[in-house]
Amino acid sequence: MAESASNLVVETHKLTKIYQNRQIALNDVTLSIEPGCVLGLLGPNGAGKTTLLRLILGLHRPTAGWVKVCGKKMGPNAAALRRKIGYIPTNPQFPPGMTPIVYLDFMAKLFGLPAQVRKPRLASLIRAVGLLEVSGDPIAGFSNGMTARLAVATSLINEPELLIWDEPTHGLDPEARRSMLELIKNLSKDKTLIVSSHNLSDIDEVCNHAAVLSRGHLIYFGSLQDLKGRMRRNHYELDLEGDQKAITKAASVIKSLPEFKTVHIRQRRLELRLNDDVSNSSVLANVFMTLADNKVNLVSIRSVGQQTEQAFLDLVEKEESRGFARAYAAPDE
Amino acid sequence: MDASLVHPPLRHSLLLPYWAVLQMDAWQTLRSWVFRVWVLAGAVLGFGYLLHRVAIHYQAGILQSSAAFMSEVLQFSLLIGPTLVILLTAGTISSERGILADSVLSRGISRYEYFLAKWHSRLLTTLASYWFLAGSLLAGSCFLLQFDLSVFGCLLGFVIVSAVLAMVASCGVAMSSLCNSTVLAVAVLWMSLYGTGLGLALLGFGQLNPLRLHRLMALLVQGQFEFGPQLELIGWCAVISVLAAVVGLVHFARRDV
Repeated sequence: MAESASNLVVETHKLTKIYQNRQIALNDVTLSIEPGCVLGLLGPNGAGKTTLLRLILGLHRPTAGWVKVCGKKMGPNAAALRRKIGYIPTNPQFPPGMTPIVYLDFMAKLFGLPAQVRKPRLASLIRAVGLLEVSGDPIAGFSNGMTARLAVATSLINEPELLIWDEPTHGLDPEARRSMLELIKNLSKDKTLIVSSHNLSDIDEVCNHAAVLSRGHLIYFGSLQDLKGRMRRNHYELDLEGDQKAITKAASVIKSLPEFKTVHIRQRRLELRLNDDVSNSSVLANVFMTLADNKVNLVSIRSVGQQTEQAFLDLVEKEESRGFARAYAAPDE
Repeated sequence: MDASLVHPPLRHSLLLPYWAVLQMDAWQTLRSWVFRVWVLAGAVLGFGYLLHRVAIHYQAGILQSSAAFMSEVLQFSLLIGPTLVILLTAGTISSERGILADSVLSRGISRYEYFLAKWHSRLLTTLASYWFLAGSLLAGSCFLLQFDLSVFGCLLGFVIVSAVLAMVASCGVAMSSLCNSTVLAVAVLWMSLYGTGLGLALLGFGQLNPLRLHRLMALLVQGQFEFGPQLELIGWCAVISVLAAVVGLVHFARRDV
């Protein structure tokens, strides 16, 4: 993600946050986010995802390092920078006794939007998120889905360049979750997004970049394809159809090929692990030929290593297993 | 390029975020049970006592002095008012810390604007409600009791009590930005305020000596006062208010929320 610093939407440098000398929430995080990037922020509970988001928003002050948003340093009093950001916290809470209209008007005022701008904008947003019928009802009686939609409207009221959504699909039913993911896809056409989520399939679906945090340390930052591709990329599962004897025979032929690390057959499922240095396309071509020679049909093939979840788990596991070696990591590692 | 397609740059109103938080906080304060209890208790006690005096006047035929009544009102305001103001202001910021404050502070508002809006809102609601109650009691006492007070002295008494309450409110808002917990802020403020008051009373020292203030109220409503010392007293309250607010503001502008 190398782009000239002035064009970067978010840039952090050696960002570290230690709470009251007791807890290291974030450790030496350096990343840069280009315009148009949809970044999925991944990590187990307590990894530092929300801390990172709060530092980007200027809600927390870094213990060391800095955050820049649109080329300018973010801090607690950088109100002008926050006008460019739309934020949804994990569990959005609303002041008691308010209606969506009053709440959105209040939020728009916080961005300094004059009445002739904010009134039409809040009306169109209420319509867009489907809260028109309940726009005069107290928010206290809203369902999770409705509050999520209101939070979305709130984050868009200032027409931000950068959207920071902390677990936007948290607590939503499948239909609302689907709508939220579709919305993220639409917004990603002209906005930069940072989406934090525990749901890796959501990240897989909507993001083009990923950042993985583990115990406050950034262990991966780059494209989602790279993340998926670098993990177990030569591990495939094939579902087969045909005579069991023919399948076993084909498997034994494949086993004899030198390009394979392991070949396992479990009834009609063939699991293949290729050596790291081989070209997978030519080896798979040989496999297909062998299957065809033995009159075995291929029902499906999938690359096990292409799952984001697997890649994420491998990364975290690898980071954990490094132990003290972390202290001696090369600067570019 | 078609001129109609060119959008002029959006001009943000810089005062609007401050104004929005001030309005919202004032609205929420008016809806809070502490505020309602304060106003209700003040009204019930004040008007109940006034009616009691009126009853004595009409039933027993004993003349009731409006000056004596108003001096008691002012003395009572000085004694109990600070406790209620502490309850009303100590949770100004600490009670909203967390997700609710996030949803405001993550928008286009600086910490300075947020703190100032909250401070001004609490000052406004506290003082406006005090003046409303005290003014009503003054009007009631003038019409229903024997009129023997100095209205100007009485108004000066209101200003002095307001200055003391504003000082307590400022300390309350500042403490709420320093503490994470409202209960802690209330406890610290209450002990500091009444401890300092007790210390000053025992030592017989200072402009803000509660016993001195107590005596002063009786003299003010009778019109027996000099301007200089009263202005000095108000000035001290203002200085302490501003100092407390500056400490709270500087701390809040630098801390994590």
